[in-house]
Amino acid sequence: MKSDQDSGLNLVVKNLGVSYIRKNSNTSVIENLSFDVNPGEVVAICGLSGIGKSTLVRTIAGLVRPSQGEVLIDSQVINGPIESLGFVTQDYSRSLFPWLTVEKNIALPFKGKDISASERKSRVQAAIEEVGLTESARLFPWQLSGGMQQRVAIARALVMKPKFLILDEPFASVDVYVRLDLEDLVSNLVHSHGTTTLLVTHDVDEAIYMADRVLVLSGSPAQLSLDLSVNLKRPRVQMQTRSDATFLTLRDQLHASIRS
Amino acid sequence: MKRALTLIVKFTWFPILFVSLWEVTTRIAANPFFPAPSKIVAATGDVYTKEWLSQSLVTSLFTLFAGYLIGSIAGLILGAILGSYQMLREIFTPITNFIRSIPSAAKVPVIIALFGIGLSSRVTTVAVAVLFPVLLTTLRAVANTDPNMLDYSKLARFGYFRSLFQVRIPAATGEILAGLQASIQIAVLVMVISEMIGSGKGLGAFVIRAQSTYMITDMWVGILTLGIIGLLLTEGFRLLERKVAPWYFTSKGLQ
Amino acid sequence: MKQLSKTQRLVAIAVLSFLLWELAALVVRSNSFPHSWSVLGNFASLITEVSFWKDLTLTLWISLLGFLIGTASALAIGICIGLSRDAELASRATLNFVRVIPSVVMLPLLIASIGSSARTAVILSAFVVTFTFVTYVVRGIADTEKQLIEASKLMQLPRMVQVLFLYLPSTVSLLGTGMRLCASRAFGTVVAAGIVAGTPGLGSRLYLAQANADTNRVFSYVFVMGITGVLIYSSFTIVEKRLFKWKVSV
Repeated sequence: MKSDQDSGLNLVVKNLGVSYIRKNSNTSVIENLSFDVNPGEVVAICGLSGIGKSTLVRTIAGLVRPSQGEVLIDSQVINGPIESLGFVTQDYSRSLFPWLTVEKNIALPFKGKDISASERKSRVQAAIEEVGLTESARLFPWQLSGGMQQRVAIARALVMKPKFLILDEPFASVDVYVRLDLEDLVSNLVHSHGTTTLLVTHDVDEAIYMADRVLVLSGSPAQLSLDLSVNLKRPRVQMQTRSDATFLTLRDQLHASIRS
Repeated sequence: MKRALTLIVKFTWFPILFVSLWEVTTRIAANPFFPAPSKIVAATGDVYTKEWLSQSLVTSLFTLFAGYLIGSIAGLILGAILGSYQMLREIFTPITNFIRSIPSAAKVPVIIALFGIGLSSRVTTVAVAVLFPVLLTTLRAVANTDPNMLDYSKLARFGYFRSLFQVRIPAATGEILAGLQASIQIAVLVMVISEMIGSGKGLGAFVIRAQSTYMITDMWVGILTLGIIGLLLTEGFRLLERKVAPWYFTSKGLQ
Repeated sequence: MKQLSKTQRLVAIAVLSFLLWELAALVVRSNSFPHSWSVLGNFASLITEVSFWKDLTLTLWISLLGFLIGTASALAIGICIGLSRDAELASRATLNFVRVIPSVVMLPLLIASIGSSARTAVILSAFVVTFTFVTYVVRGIADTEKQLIEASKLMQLPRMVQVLFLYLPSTVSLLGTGMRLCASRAFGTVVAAGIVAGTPGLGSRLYLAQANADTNRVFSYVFVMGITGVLIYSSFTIVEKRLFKWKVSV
């Protein structure tokens, strides 16, 4: 269910190029890439592994400097991490602070920000409830299962009420049923908040199930080879949606494009 | 080329600044105990030729190498044997641990009390000080062989020696080398102390004598010589271990 | 292989130590190598002397002071160096050089300039601890999980918060190891200063016993130092296990 508030930010990627210097030679990962994402839209980025999906979103997040072109979020040029952006990575076990409890991990982004203690507390509480971790708030991340740890990472990204969310292969290392649950959880959360979301995944089914639009990256340096709208009604229901005829057509189209 | 140059600058600006500051402050403060580094360097040639520093250097290096070799070889052999039998290990670990916990400096008077202050006594001191840490690290490393590797050597029906030399010791190389490297510093320390108390021979004695006769520049030359010995040995060992056990560094990505 | 019970092990250790000792006494010239029982007797009389306990306390105090000053300054220096790659490169050569200079060669310099009081021993052990510990701090910071650094950048945590919540906790397990080593080194350095420079405490007592050819006493002091060394080491291990529970599964 799409929210009416539409508080998400828009993204513009303009002629983006990213290259790495390795042993004095320039390796271009991405070249001349342009696309837009509208406020509140959920866009999935698909492609073979190693194609540059992660590099792309890390550039959008301000972690990597582009070698050409620019990234604009809400018309602001990105040249470093910004506050209104949330980021969840695949390596949840390594991106959570092992010496902090679940609660404190989620509260960490507030450090050094001008937000009152009571506000912090209620927002942390709300985030914990949203991802269903109330029982585990006082445990350490390593006392939780993989899926639960990923919930912590999601809550930590959402607690700052980001207007733009990047999920980089967020469910790649959890087992399949947990994965389905997490997909629904995240879908519901971003839709209720109207957060603009970029989802990197190599799983075509996941991309279609969660996104309003799917972009396919291919080639080296990576370029946009397909921009596909997903016209499946919401709310989507795992098994039902996945056997829908439209779903299957989209799926064939995407597979073909990724392989080409 | 340009990158190499900036790297060199990044490495050297601080030592250069440090020495320059040292030079300037010692010249301004003119404290008799802190001669300017330029004066120390200028005096080095004289100290080595006219005084008996070169002779002391030879004595010290001999003590160091002989003691280190004897101690580390004995430590390696005993460690490998004790480490591969659980019962021996359980009994000897606490004993070794206790002896190792005695500060290395305190071992010097004991050896002097037993063997006097001669050259062989000083070599023994270094050997004893090196023996226990090497023994203990080897014992631990050999005892903690990956069980999968041990299973393999059992399946391949390796005998005791084959399993020791082809499985346990190679698998333990990293830790054993680390133990050997740490022992270099202990060896230098113990050598200096054993020379400082009583013997009258070697670099340690030279430094003490220079101090008590207020030959402060000579003393500094001695101190810096010892520092350079320590540095050369440690760095030399690092180069050596890359040659001896290259797999350890590549497999751990330490290259 | 047969498993030994705890008592069996203790008995075996005691019997074996005794046998090894007496064997050594036989091999080494017998008149200077004391029998184990005469050392034990000497040890028993030593620990009834008031002056012994004073020396022991003094030695421990000096070590503690050197340890605290050293670790605190190493922490400050190490954080500054560790957080900047340029500072790390610039200081590497200097740190490596100072670290390998055997600490006791500084003693003649210290004796010449400030004499051989307890202060000398404090300075020397603080010096040794600083240069040992600083490497641990720098290495700990360098080993900080890249993903966590990235996460804290994305959260836009201020520098101070990063130091307190990211770099320090992530170095903590390595610092535990470093502290344990430094505590032993602080004690060892104070003993060495006593032996070489005659700074007050157990070290100078040991030297005197050796100078008086009182071999029983020499062994008694060495025995005491071994016990102290073991106690220092194991107390740090216990503290470490209690403090860093989360480390277990990282």
